[in-house]
Amino acid sequence: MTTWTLGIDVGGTFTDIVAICSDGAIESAKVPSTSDQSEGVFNSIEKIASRLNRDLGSFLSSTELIVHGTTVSTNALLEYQGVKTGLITTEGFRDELEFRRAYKESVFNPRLAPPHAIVPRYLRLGVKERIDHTGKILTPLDVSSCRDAINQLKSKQVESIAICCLFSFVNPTHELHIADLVREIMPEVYISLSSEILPEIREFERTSTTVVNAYVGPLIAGYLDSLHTNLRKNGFTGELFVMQSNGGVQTIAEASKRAVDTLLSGPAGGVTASAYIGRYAGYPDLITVDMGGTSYDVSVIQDLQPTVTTETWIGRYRTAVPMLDIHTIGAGGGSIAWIDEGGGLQVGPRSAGATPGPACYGRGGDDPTVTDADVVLGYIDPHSFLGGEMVLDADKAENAIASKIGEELGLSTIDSALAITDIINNNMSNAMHFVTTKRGYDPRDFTLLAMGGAGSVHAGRQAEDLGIATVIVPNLSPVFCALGDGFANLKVTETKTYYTRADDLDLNILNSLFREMELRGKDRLSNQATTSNFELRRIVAMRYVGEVHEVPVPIRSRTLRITSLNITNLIKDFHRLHEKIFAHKDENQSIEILTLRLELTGIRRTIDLAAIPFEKEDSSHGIKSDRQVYFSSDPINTTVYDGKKLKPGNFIPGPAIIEQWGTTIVIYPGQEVLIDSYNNCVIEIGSAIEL
Amino acid sequence: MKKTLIHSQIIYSKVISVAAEMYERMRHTANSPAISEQESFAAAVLTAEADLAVQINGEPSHLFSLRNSAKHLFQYFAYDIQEGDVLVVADPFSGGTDPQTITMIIPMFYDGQLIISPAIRAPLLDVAGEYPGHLHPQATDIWQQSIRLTPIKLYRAGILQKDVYSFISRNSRAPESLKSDLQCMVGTCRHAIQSIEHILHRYNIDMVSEAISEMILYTRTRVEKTLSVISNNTYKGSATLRSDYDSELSARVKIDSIGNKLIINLDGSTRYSDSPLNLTPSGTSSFAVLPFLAGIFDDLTINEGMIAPFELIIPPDSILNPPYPAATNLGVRVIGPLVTEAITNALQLGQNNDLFAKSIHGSKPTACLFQPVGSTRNNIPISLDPGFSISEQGWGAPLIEGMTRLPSAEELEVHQGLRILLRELNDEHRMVVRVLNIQRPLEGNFFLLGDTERYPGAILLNGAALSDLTSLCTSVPVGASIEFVYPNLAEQQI
Repeated sequence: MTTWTLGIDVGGTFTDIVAICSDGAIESAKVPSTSDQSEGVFNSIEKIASRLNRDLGSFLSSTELIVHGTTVSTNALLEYQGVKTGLITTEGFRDELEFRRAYKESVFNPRLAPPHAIVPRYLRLGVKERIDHTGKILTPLDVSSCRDAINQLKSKQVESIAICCLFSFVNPTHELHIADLVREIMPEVYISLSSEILPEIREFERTSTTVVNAYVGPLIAGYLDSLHTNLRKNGFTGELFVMQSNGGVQTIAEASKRAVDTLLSGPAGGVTASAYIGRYAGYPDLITVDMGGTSYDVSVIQDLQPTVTTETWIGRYRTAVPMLDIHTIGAGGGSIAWIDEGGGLQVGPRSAGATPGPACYGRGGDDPTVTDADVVLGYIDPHSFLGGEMVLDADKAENAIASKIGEELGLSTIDSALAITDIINNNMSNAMHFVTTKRGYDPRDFTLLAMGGAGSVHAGRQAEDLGIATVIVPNLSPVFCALGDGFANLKVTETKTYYTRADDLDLNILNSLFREMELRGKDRLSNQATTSNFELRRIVAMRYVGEVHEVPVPIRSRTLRITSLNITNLIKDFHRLHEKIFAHKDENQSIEILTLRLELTGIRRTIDLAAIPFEKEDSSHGIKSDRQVYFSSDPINTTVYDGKKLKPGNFIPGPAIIEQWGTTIVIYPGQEVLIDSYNNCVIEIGSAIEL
Repeated sequence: MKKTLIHSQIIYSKVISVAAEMYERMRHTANSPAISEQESFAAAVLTAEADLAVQINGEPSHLFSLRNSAKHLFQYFAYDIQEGDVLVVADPFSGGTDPQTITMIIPMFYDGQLIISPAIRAPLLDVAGEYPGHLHPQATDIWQQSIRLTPIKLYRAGILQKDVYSFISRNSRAPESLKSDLQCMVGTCRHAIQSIEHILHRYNIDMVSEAISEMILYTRTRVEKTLSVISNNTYKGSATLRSDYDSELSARVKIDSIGNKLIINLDGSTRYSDSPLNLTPSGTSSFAVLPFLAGIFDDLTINEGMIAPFELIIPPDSILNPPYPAATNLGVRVIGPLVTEAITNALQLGQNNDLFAKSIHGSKPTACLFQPVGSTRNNIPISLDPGFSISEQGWGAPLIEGMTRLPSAEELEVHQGLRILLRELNDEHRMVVRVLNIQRPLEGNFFLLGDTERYPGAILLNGAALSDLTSLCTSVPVGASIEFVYPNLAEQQI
């Protein structure tokens, strides 16, 4: 009997679903997102079920796994709609969260407001206790003051408590004891311990991350519980996993405890899908770009491994858990073009959103946007948007651009639209350049993978700008994040501070710590039946003595115990990586180790993408129409293809346009596209454009 | 013309990326906490005339001082610059602010022509002087602060000048850190040259030069527009420090606008001090323009156009332009805010209350700890700034502290043997930080400006206020506690 795996990703406008059948068939759909996200989830499942001529119950009963990418926690943090949260911390440090180590988003803006206090001062309480950097207890926990603090929080009716003591990552006993007291006095309250959420040095980062977990945790826990219950009621007997920001998935029990791992998990699905596609398509080194209505997300995959960061800020709060390094800028189809005080043309970061949206949406917006420019230039057919489900008003697009840009700059409407796309393409190229070069990579060594509704309209130009030779527009790019959810493996990341000079490294301690982390990780992955096949990756964050920032260096060996030879190679790798990233190394300088990281991946059995044999090169059967398209001031009559009709092996020289539901792929002059064996559009890029 | 501005924006954004990458590289690889944690440095790309094409600033004092130092370098080596040279200067009397902050520029040649060049200005950990570190509150001349590095080549035609390198590093109590930071700066600049070459291959020299010129003009236009709200009146103001330390020090200012120029005349400011409370012209200029630019810094890239609308008249032999060999190491910390305060006082007396920064504070207690002088060859100073005065915004650190980060209490304990016992707001909304020495005997130089008009904060050693707020080599044995108290917002305002 065939079974199904569903990947469901909730976005700001749409909830996407990809249903993967055990026989290899794949179905996908988009439905509008709903304020109660579970409604959109059910709507999306029903849509697929209906397409398969099945009722919801019977379809769910044949579904063995649902992987859900939700924005519940992200939205709660960004909109400051989390629960009432308290903080118990070492006496004398209750204001660390507010001080933020003096970090400010803008140093010079005299009118910058402080971040919304998700734990206001009166709910931040210090207790007498102190542990030193060796784990020795300097001041035993004053249980009485602790009880007072808890009762105070109880009287304020907090729903969640974060517990963060100094050096708890070395010795968590005080935090554990405080947690016991909290459970005794407030058994229903949600508890987050910093020694569990992020057992790493640097108290502000640890406290902020733990507080964020506490703030959104009850919401995501409640949501997942409710969703799970409803799914069961409707006949679902399989497993429900949740997408995480580290690119893997986790059980709902774990996700409910570690809510912080679900922040920004949506884009992570897209990156995961990219690595999956890259494996089959033969492109292990990718820059992935996701251009939606408002934002542009960029990340890097090297040798099929997405890059990871611990330096994220979300909603102006530091979240230092390892997550996929996705750099976001305000550049999307809805980005508004405007003239600044100096007469310069700017595009974004302000967006028209979905409502009123671009001028061509006809919903009352009159600011010119990137989508309006794309319509005016002929990249987007107003009658084929979203497969024809929405008709765009080209006249409104032209009027908006002419009146707000053209007249101001003394340019024709076409030249104004070209200028808008030049600026937004440049902004996006610079973002890609930043993400690659900060890690010592050269973007020319990568393939660009474009997803999102607007990604493939602009990717060709960005690739030219950066000297990238190939662009892939994957099959199912409009629902790519959901696809990623469907293929993602289970994954936990354990971290632990272990501070030592490399010369003084004790292998027994190192191995013991990694072993503890492995056991903890396996325990976190134990409550599921999907896989028992685990893969381990060990990483050591290191730096030269005197530096402040670390470089994470993977341990190449996969032996059970790390040996001194492994360490020798690790150090060599560190020097090499440091030089690659920072153009500087010093092999005579001492090295110190700061943090250990263990990534435990539970490999799921997924379907293999079946390679479809090439058909003929001739793609004329896919021709839909032609139209005037402006790749420069002079239009070119450009052939338009129906993406659904193109087959593997079909070849199309640029300029050309391929229209698919949910996206348009623009092949610029000098470029050419091949449909590969997996129905991806693989665009080869000519030389860089001249201005 | 409109169309070329768009093209210029695009090309210029690539040049900005070069400076931004330089900044990130330095921040991540430097040894000196003043660079990696406090971000008291700047990275820039300069034109062939050493004008600012782009600058990324971690801290305001570099605004004029990087390019002024670079101009000194170019003037000094005028007919002797060749490919592979690395020029350095660390001299308050050669365009800088203090002798422990070094400016490095690697002139870049393309097709045999000197074009644009990457530069970095950054504080070094220790370069001699009477005491380790940057803090010498009783210095009366520059030689007590550190060696004075007048324009010199660290590399000549690509060859390391070992005598220069040795001279600098052997005069440092933290030679390995210093050498590492110098190498970081060189590596960062050289990598920037490769990036600039890519840009020049993509677009030719003329296009890049034109783009930089256009964007400098664009920035200048924006700044002039912002300044145009200052009507054709004269604004006068002053700010005075009355302290036990140095009696009375005043910055006086008269602001006039003539055409598109804003004339900031600081005549009448106090004569130079025999203490380290002197600020060089570069530093004075940086702080003088800060109130005008604070509101638009985020909208614009720092380049020559940002500073071109200002004309500074700085009286010689004053605290704002001291004669050689005056000590200057507290100029940025104390006199800089005084200058900005004089400016904001003048502006608020006029009609421009809402447009420009209302007031900019920053003076605070500070310390530099080190192992007892003479006890060890490598005596790496610990610059201790564990807190901040609440800013004029009512939260966070003040603007003049730039991108600084507070040290993590846990890292300070692990790496420096200093345990922060407390870092919190007290009932008077003052930040209080109490630090305990847990590891090894130390000495410390302390500084707190004993302002008689406003509460300046406090430094307490073992619970007792320091008797001498400009103390040198005060013993900080194991078990000693140092408490820093920072003034609240109201206490910083007159």
